[in-house]
Amino acid sequence: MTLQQTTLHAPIIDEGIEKKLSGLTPETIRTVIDDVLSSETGPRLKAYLKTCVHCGLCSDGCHFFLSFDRNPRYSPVGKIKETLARFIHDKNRITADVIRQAAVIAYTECNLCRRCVMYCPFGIDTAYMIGIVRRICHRLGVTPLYIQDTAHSHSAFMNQMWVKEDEWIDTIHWQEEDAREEIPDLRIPLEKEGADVMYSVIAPEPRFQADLIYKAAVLMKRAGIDWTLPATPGWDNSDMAMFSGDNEIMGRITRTHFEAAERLNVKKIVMGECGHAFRSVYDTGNRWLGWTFPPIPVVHAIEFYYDLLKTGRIRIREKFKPRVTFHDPCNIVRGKGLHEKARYIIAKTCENFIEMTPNREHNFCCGAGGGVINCGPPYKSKRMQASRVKAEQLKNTGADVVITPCHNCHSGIDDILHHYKIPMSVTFMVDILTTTMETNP
Amino acid sequence: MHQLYDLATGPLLYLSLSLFAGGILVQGISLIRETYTSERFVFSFLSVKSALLSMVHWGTPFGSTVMRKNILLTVVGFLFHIGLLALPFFLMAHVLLFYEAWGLSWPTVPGWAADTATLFVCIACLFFVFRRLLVPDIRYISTPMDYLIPVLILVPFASGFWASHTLPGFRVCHVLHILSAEVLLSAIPFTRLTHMLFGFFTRIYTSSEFGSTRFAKDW
Repeated sequence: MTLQQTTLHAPIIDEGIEKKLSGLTPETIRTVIDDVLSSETGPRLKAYLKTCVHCGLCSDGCHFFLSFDRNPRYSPVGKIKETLARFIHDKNRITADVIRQAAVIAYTECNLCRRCVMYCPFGIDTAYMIGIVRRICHRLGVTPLYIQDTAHSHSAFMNQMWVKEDEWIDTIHWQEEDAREEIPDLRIPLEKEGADVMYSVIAPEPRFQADLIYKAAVLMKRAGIDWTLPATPGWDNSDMAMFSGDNEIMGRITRTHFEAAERLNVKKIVMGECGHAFRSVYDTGNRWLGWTFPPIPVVHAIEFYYDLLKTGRIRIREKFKPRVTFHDPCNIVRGKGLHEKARYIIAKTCENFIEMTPNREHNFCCGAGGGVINCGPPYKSKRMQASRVKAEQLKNTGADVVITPCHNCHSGIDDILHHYKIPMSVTFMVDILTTTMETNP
Repeated sequence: MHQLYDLATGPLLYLSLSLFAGGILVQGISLIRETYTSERFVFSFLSVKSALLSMVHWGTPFGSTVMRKNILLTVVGFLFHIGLLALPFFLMAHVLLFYEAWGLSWPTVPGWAADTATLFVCIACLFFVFRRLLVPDIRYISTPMDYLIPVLILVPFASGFWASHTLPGFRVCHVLHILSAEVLLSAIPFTRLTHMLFGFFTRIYTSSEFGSTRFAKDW
């Protein structure tokens, strides 16, 4: 099934990108590029660049390339040709215009989903290379306005939505109050030292999806988990600085998260249903801090739910009836291999499951990941165009509901469903679990 | 012609072998050394099991998703690489040279098989060039060197075929065969042909990351 593609008309003007460009000279640009390449990259990049034989097999791995009717400009290697390869080979000819184009490509035309890595016979990590382009753009001060705003919020408040400390605590109290109407003795423990689990969420939850905290609390209560939330910074596990190229802030965020868990002396961190946050805590941010694996056990919600079901801490009362499909989030599937655990949860909770094709490691990105949705409204039309194959994939399932345990995927798919007028709703796994589980296990 | 032949089979042969072996050794060792000094974390993620598993998949025809999506390229690609790597070592004429030089010998491929494989390698080179020219996303990223490399491979194979069948001008072709093979050998460490070495490094690292850190398949 091929859906109708809309076309872009007006050029996108991004103030965040434009603001710094006018002051950039080729000399300044060259200094920054050389500095990043010499001090922040090494043999890994060298090996990738030397090994690529320009075979073009990565193209089919990219949903941008496929959705834009196989336009060469959107192939993974095509994006490297227009960005990093130019930075390296064009020596002193890198102008502000080249940087503008590179920023647009790196921030808004690649979701860093790593699907193309599986299509390269040599396993060349294009997402890593696009990350270097973003790093260079960040060092030049050329970042899209909206994602930069988020990075500023991280820097000032250690969360991505300018949530003040009292607002966070107030939201928890408000959710606790609401939840006690359902379960009178329910608590949402804040700052409980020595709890088994520190639960962390992303800032959009207290900002406008507070019911997810309510549901998590209900789940914890029913499963009898000794858990807590931190009242101090560290409660937000999200990390848009990782995607803006601001590695220093990325490191601070991950450190604050770990330190909150350390201070509360918990046994492990359970992260809510978010993919990119998991990438930062488990992989990128963690490594920036010098850890091979996180210093405290970190599990994604899917692993946590799986364990609860497997050990019988929660039991299912009645399975969910509508036809459901599952969208594998890149950062927990290609990032942690949680696809089978997710399917186990679905098998336990849903009656009618329809597999999406392709699936598991080969699933298409939702188009929102890698900070692309965080680049904001100016790029929404392009993001929708780039999601055509995702829309077709969703529509072909004929499902009523798509489950996805990731905030970015959730928002991205919601946009796709509206844009392509697909009669389907998107939901988190916790919604399914709290709807189907026994209330008195 | 004789002087050129002597040059090609004497100093130029040693020069090309030195460039090839030296270049590969220097590049390989320096990559490992640089990784040890500046990106040592790479070693902490390496997994023999994941790397082997991934290489088995990528080394088996149609063992990866991308191969199943590109049937023609997979068939041509595999046969091309087998021919390219095996022919120089298992041709009767080449084994004779090894025998004359070092007294070593091993089984050879029959003449008809060698001819077929040689012609196939030549056709595959043309296939790669035309694929570059005709597929838009591949043409978009191709550099002059990408077109030159298949030609660098084509010349020694085509001239070798010509010379071995004593077709008109075979003497010139014989010298051309030796010289062009030396050029090809020397070019390996300094062009994208280094994928012959670095491809293993990148595959080992990526498959380790995928298999043992991210617990996902990379094929």
